[in-house]
Amino acid sequence: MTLKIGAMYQVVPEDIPQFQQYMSQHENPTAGESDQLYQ
Amino acid sequence: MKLAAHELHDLNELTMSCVNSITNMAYMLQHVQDPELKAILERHFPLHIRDYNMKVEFLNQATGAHKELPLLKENTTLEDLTSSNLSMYPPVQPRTVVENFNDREMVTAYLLTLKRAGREYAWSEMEMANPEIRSFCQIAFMMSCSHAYDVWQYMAKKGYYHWSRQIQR
Repeated sequence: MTLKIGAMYQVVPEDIPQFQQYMSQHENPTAGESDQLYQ
Repeated sequence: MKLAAHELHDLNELTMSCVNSITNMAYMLQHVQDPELKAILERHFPLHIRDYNMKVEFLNQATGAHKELPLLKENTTLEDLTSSNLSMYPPVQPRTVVENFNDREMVTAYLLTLKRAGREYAWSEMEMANPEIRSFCQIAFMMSCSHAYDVWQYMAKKGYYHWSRQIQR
């Protein structure tokens, strides 16, 4: 069942130039990295 | 990744919600008129894509998600957080015939989506057994809170969102 549901959703490529442009133009205020949780 | 039935159900609901949010944001990015609102959407959009991709990885990868979401903090831009300095709010009436959304309609839809998504992440997080998915839902909840705060402040500044006046002592 997991495979059947998972196969329905397709990954969106994150290396699209438009996204890179958005990331370089606007900085999200961050408090840290998420891997700092549960340490 | 091996998932319990309720985890699979919640992930499916959250992923479908993401498909909806991303598609709506893509529409908004092409149609918003106000550069300030457009900049907010452009800043948020890549993180919504990352959030969606992580859910797809949880559903499809045996080892779970390999990407990360940053921990966002609340960014205050309003000078007065207790009352609006506007003398009156711009009136609003639901339109019954709509060809294209205006900025106010789009930003309202986005804020309500963020608030609903945040509550769903919090609710799901409490039910997840897998610690990685719990952690993911927790971080996604924080992202929803942070993004909703950005959007609420924008709406408050424009007079699109009422909030209570400061109680005089």
